[in-house]
Amino acid sequence: MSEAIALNETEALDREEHSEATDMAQSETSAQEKNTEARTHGISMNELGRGRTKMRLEQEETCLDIRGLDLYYGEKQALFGINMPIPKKRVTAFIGPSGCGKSTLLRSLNRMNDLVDGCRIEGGIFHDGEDIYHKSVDVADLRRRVGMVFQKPNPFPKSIYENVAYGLRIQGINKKRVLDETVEWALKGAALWDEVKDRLHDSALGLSGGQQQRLVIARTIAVKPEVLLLDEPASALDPISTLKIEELINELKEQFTIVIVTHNMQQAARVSDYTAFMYMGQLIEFADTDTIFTNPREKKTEDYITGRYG
Amino acid sequence: MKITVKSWFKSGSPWVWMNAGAVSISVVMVVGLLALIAVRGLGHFWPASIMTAQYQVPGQSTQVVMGQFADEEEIPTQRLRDAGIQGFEEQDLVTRQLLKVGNRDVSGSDFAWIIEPWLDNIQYPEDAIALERREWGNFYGFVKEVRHNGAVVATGSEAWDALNASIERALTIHNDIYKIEKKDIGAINSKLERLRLQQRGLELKGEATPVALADIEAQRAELNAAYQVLEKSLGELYVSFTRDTVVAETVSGQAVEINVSKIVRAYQPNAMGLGGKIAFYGSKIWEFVADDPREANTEGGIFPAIFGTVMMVLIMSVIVTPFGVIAAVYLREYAKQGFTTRVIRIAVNNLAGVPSIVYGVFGLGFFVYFLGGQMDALFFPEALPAPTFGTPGLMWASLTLALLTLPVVIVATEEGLSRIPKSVREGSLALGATKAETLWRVVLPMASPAMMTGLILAVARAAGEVAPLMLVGVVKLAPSLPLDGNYPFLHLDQKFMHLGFHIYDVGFQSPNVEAARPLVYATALLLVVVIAVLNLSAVAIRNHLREKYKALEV
Repeated sequence: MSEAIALNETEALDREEHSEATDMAQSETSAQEKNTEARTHGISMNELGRGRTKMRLEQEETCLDIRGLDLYYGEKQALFGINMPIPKKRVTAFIGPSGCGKSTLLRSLNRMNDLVDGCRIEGGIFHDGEDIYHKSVDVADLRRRVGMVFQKPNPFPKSIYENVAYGLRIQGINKKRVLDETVEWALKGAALWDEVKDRLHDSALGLSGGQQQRLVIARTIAVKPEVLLLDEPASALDPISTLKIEELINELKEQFTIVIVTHNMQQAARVSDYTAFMYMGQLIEFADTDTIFTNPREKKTEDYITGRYG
Repeated sequence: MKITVKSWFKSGSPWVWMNAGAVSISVVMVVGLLALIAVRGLGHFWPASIMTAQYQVPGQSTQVVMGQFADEEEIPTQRLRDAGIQGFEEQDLVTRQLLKVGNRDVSGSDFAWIIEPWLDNIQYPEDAIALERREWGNFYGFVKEVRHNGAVVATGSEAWDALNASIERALTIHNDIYKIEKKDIGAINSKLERLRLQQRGLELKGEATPVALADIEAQRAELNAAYQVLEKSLGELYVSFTRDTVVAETVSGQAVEINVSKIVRAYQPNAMGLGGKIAFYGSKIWEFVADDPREANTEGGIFPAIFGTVMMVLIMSVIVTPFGVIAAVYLREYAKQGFTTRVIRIAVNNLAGVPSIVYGVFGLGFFVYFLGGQMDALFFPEALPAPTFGTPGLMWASLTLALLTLPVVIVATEEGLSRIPKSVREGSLALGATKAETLWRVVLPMASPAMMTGLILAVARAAGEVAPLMLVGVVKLAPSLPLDGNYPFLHLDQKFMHLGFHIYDVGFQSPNVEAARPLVYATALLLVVVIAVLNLSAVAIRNHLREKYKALEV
């Protein structure tokens, strides 16, 4: 029995076999584990190779503060009284079943919902103490500071270089030296530089799906936002590309506040520091990831994580 | 195993056959039409042999006829009997030939119908010549003498070579005269006219001070002096132009003296080999495409019409594209979708169905008389009462056609805009771009192939349109091209020629129906070619754009 645990732990050190390890943990070995939490819940946090430092929400500096947010699509209410602080330079994951409002919440963080006809909100979201929904806020500037990466890679039909330089050109930066430096920095930041450095001026549409998604991330970080919103960034990608994106998230959290929406609970457990579980437009539980996955306070959270619904 | 009718229907093959049949019929019809036009039109330029024959109409004395074969048809003899011609009581049908006999100055008509059985002793004499003249059509006969200033320089067999040399010389002089008249004197006239307008403008404003007038007068004197020089050299050229004459004899033995300056081209089709005929054919085709028309549009080329058509289509494209695109962008991207936009869309679609002559009437009433009249009063008061823009012209024709084709561009662009994936727009917005920046940098480039599709349809429709143009600017014969070397170079106020109208004019308004008929076909073919070229170049641009902005497959 102890051998099994030891084996599991060594495997867990090898990042490439994460998902296999967790699958095994879910299906076969979980019952044998000593840890009672691990026995009750699907994912053993010990096996994910995460740093053991305990995160506490109370100690974090808040980046975005969502206060009493209600959101309506026409007559239909989609979000109900959401209250949550999003900690700075941490990865926060939103999980929950389809249609629970996690993407809606994410999109309201940089006002992408403004594009939807008949969408209105009550309550507020505060960024550095300012309400981002205030009349005086320049939406374009807000979106520059709160960048977003979408589910499907959406490069522009331009060259790789122009894709990354797009945000800078929008800001009126046209100096070649600045652009060159930023493009290189962003592509390196998105772990794409080595793959594309020889074909920067080829069309971005010639890249593979995973490369395109990293290009989109490079494009987003090139404008040096404070917050990075990721809307299921890996759901359309193959496992290898997914792994690369997850590694990237780990590196990027040094510099950016990251909010990620994911359907994949293993992914949430692997990459996030804090996890919010949402259900039917309501925030059910929000805590550090360890707590959510090992010792959730709410029954609904536990049911979802153990796969009883969703 | 038996295949029932029912299962055959179920298999879908009857529909496949039906569709294939419909497509084949369409293709056959298009190819057939083009072939008919091409054969009828292009055959006209081939140098047909000149035949001489004895023509014996029963009860009359024998005539000698000479001319080029033009056409042939079988007619019921009843028609001849009705016309009072006797001699075919036993037959039902008889063949008659259309002979281009030329010599309009001698015989009064260019063409003659000859009843074939009455022809006798048909010959193709080697030394028969055809002279294409600037007036009076072709001359057929035999060359006798060439004279310089009335003195005979060559007779008999040498006369043909002497004639060719003379024609060569005359054509060179003609080119010089043409250059001086059109270019140099044209430029001086245009400058003089501008001086006149300048003076009149000063008078109207009450600024006609003696100093200003003296300045204008000085410039005018300078131009007049330049004109005197040109006129003198022109006079000399004319004297030497008309030096040579040729004496030729018609087949009936009548001698005619023709000044060489009146001759465009002389040839002996019966003496030509195949190579010579092909070379001649090429030069005739080139003349048709590149020269000005002669003889009430029945001879010469149609270059001004080609130029006018292309020019008008280009100006129309330049006008219609921004208007259509802006309208479509507003309708699709900015306007609040609802009842009003629906009504506007319906209205736009219905505009495409309005008969084109209605646009012509609108163009004449609104653009020419109202807008043009206002513009004249505001900007060109010195030219009044002669209108500048208050008369049909190139700009109004282009504007009218732009209005006519606007719906096509709007619909196509809207279609293209609606097909741009939402994700790409969001990607741009999420980087801090405003809506306008997103439109300009991402959406419009990606929608450009659709705009080109709209433009292709617009060009195809505009180039073939005739009815509205007759009201807003097309004329039978325009003295100069709308684009030349005189300020302001592009003359939007000028009237112009158009291939479509040219077909109508040559076909139905021509004094010489038989001569004009092949030109109708040739012009129609050329119109099809011009439209095809315009369209194909637009298609090429579109395909290039499509390749460049290949949308993300979503």
